[in-house]
Amino acid sequence: MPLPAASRLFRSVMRTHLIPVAHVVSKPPKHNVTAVEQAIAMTVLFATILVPSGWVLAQLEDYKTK
Amino acid sequence: MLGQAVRRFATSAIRSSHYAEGPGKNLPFSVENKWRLLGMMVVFFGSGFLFPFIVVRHQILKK
Repeated sequence: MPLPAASRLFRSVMRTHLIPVAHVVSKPPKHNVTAVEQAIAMTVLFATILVPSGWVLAQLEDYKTK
Repeated sequence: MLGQAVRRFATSAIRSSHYAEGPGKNLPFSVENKWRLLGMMVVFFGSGFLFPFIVVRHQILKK
């Protein structure tokens, strides 16, 4: 492809459009979640997933031989 | 002036909305108390995740 035609394709892609800035305003949090609370919540959720399913998987050999 | 006020009221959200609006209000569950929310999430996600394991346990115990 001749070079001027190829550069025209690049130029149309690289033309950046000016978009007005969105006026976003945020306030400080209404409910603070401390690091301790986050740790508790993460532990509880991980345990919810891992403990019951882990128990079933650990008992599998017992279930097979019953 | 009165016409402008009537038009503003006629199209305002106050007139049309009978559902609560805003953060935390457009959900089928409450996010008011974070520990109650944690409990609800444990029940919801925990029961769904555990169900297939219970099915496998049931099937293996059947034979």
